[in-house]
Amino acid sequence: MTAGRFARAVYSRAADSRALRRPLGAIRSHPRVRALARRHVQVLLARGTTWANVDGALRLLAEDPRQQIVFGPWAGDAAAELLYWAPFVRWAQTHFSLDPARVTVVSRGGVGHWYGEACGTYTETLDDGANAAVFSPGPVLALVEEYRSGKAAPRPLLKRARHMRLPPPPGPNGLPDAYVAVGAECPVQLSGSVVTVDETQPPGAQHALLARATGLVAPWSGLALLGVLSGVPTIAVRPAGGAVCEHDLDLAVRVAAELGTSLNVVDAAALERLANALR
Amino acid sequence: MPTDHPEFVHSSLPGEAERLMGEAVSAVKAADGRVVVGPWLGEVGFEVLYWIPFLHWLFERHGIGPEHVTVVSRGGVRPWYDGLCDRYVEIFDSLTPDEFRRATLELWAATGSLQKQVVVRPWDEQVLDSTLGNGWKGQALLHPQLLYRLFRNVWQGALPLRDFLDRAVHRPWPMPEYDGLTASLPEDFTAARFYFRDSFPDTPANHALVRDTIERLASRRPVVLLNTGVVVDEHLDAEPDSDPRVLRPLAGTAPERNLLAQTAVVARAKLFAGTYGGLAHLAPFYGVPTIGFASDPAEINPVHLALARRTAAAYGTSLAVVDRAGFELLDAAASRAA
Repeated sequence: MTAGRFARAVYSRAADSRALRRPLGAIRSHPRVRALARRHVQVLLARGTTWANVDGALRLLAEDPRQQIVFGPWAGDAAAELLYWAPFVRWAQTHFSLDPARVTVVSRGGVGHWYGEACGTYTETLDDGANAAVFSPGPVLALVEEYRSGKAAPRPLLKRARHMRLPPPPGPNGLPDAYVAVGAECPVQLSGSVVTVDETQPPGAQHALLARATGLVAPWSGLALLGVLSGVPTIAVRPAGGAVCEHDLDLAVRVAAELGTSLNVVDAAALERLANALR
Repeated sequence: MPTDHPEFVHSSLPGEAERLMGEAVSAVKAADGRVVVGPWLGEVGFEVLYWIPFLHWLFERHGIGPEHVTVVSRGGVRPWYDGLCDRYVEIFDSLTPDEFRRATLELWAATGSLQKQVVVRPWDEQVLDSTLGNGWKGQALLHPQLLYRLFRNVWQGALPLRDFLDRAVHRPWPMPEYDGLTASLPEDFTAARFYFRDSFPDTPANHALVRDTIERLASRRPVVLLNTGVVVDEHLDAEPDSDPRVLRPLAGTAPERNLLAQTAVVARAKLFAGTYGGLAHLAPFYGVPTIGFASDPAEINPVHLALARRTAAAYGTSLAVVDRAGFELLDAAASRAA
């Protein structure tokens, strides 16, 4: 057992003791102890991943108005960022009344606008030398994973998420007045005014293309979620035989309904049956 | 299907589900397997999406056979309970739709719009007395309160959907017959039924959407409207304009068979299109591709959406929930699908 683990084990035992609860509470609330805890907020989060610990860590960070907070760095896929992480950051900023000037988000691909007004600074590089508390996505993602595995109810997660319509980033020149956006790997061939979104482009550039479309047809991905969050009616095609997390789809459909956007997730075979029925 | 009524919101107690089911199964065993299931007085959506798959699971899990099981429901829905009961008793054989509707609306008014059968109320007992006489009192009663008590926290998002999915079995639903009707249907047709509700309110825009959708569908193949004229709750049908391509074979159907007649048509359709809700939940059980319209999807409990999507997939078909823009996109994509 490392010294840190030993200390945590002793602390946990002591915290469970009725006799020691009050003195420990007094120590915990001492300003110097709280300042120390703020500098080592990762230790609090590492103690055990629960929403109470996540809330506690954020409350701690919120107490000092001078404390800079970095959310990130985000290195995962766009779908999880759009569905879970960015809404969590927005909720944290609002719920704990964090001044956006104190909040920095670290991600990639020019997606600062996905975080709305929650962050005063968006960057793609984590400055290790800055005197800021880093709130990394790990603990939140561990809790998200409990929901995604079907073990946890959605409510605690939903309480800590603010999904919102995303503002469209500046669009490229030369777009048609009205068009349907399609993903490059989309199994549906549309005629008429169609713009293909290259999913190897940075997410911000993809967003700029699809946000002005009258509809989006794309494989289930972050691109389909971008459509939903941009208010664009979206058909997400499930890959044939591909593994898709049903709970991601449940949440995406829920978010679409809340935002008043049409999202339909169908597999290619079902879409073909529907096509036959509609022809 | 609102589930935010105060009486509907209860905290989850550990072991509560096992206790409730244990009590129900013990009662069935104590009655030597003689069971009354129902009376089902609520919406079609809950009945097909939750109640019947749950009963299949419960009966299979605890070895309850159909021999001594009596189901009490309305609208001639015996085929829905195939494999679950040897006896089906029709509520509208004993009560008129007007009596049913009046009592239902009075109950909702008295309970602050609680539409769910969360307890056995005098109205439930009155229905059982009317349909079964005193016979039900010597049998076990599997009342819908079991469903609502078990899963209300799933609908609130306080328990994972898996709590229901682990207690549901989806069996094939046999093709229902309806004398004289099925032979008269076109070989190839779209079934449609639109009515107004919170997620598809009675607005000029939605009237226009119904009209345009039926016009578009009728230009491709005949549309069979499922409107029967039977009204048992607060939902009122949208009545499209007259059109020779739009058939209305169910107008005037007897109340005690109105859901059977609609089911017989839906099950044979190439496509079902209509208001998202009851029949849009039913059609996928027959493998029928379904488009449910909701102009205000925020009014829909997202747990129902999640389960409906999964149920459609379990029966090898799709359920699309759309507003006007969503339908336009779906139509454009589907008509050009590779």
